[in-house]
Amino acid sequence: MPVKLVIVAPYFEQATFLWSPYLRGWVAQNLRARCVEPAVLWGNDAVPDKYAQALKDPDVKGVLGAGHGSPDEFTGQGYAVLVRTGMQVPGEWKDDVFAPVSCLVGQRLVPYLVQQGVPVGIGQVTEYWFTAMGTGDGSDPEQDPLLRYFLYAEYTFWFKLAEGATAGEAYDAAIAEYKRQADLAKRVDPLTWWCLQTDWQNRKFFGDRGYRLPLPPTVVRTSVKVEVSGEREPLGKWDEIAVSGTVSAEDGTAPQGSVKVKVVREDGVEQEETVQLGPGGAFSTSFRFSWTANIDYTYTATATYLGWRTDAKCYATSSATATVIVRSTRAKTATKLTRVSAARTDDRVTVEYEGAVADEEGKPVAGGEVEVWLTDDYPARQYARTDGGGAFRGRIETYAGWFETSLSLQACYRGDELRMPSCDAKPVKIPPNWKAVGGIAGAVLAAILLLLVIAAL
Amino acid sequence: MTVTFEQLQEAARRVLEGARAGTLSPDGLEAFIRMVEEWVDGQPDWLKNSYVGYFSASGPKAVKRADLPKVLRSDPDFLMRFLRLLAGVA
Repeated sequence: MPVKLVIVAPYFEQATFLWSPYLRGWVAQNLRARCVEPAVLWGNDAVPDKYAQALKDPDVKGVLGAGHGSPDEFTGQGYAVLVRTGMQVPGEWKDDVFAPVSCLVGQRLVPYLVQQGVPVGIGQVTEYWFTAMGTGDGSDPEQDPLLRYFLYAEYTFWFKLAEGATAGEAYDAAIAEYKRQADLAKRVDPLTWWCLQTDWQNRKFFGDRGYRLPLPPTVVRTSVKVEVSGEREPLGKWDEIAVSGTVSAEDGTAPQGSVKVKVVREDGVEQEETVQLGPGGAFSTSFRFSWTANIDYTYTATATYLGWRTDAKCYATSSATATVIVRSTRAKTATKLTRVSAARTDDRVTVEYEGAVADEEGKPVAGGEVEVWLTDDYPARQYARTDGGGAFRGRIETYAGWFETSLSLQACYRGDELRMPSCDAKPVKIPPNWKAVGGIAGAVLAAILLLLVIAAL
Repeated sequence: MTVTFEQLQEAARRVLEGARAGTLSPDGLEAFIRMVEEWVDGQPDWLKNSYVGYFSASGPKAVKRADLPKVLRSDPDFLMRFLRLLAGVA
């Protein structure tokens, strides 16, 4: 018999209108994919007698879901109290993990249940806050751009537990996922980020960290091996990403069913496809991503086996990830400054330069734009263009102080769709303004002489 | 000028400190709620229409962000929980 989990899903006011559809839809579906049977107490079924009845089933090994709470009570539909501190805990509850989303139950109720023999409990010691748009039918968290952060984080615990992890491992994974989701949410909405931060900091674990769900032998664990390769099409302006792999079962049989393959580029562009497993559990597919720029891109491919059931067995879901970097096809270039000279006229300085740009094979880069500037106190800047032989030349006129100065002339070829940028620099010595310096020296000398004459008189 | 979330958090901490020290006046609370109003006004429309809520067995449980100032004025329980959330006080 499969392991069963009771999902409490009251549906009677705004908070439960937002959260509970995802319990009945997405959470239940994902537990089934992991060979765990959900028993959903939806709406008017989330009441004390039906709750007690559901937990009498010896196959039930846990309680999740959502419900309003207080330090001593967990409630269902219409605030009907389902569990209370101090109550006589029935024997059949004592092998059930208790971890619904509910405010304040971590203060007294969950510790009490664990004290009474419940193996594992997770409870909030403050309010459990969340944000949501109220969109979607509950089948996929992506339908609600705010609630999804909470759903992905919270149900990591139950999905990991259903995959065979210990309660401690599953809890740690959920907390890590809360932190990851909080980071993602921070860019979107600071209030959502703060709610997630507050929630994980106050979501406490009680009981046996080593506890595992007693998954029956009819559950066949699976594993996915995935490989990803990428190639840049130089003219067509796309990357071809090929994903292939195999799903294998621990009992040596060949799993059937399908794999969801999702490829995410580092700039957030993503594509996904569900592919049927072939002979031996093999799968392969490919995706075409348009460039936004001819630069290196990292692609991450995740292959998730969606599980499979026969009359005798349940193949559990599993997943694996692989990455590939598709390199820029732009050729390397070299910029060389071949001559730099500086001349002064009073306070004006003229710097003349010559240089050349070539690609990695030494071929001249014609028609390229080169940015040339003097560093430090003289931010004069201009653009030169390479001729047919890859050469560029020009002069920068600027003002300089009276004294000798050392500057640096920088030249950077800016690159284009097919070539990488490159730079070169050369020191430039600006001679002193002798006329000005001489004038000052003369004036100082004259002043000294005048003082000496006055002193002598 | 738009009120930032960090300014709102700072204001919530000041309100709670005032409440603890017995120096909080109705004007101080009203000033905080006006800050919430300005913060909400500065949000994009889709966030104004989103909900914020919790799973506690009393008071309103999830409210539209646009309605936050109204709810904070009319429901002291929600106000206190919201202040504690922003201030990071368990």
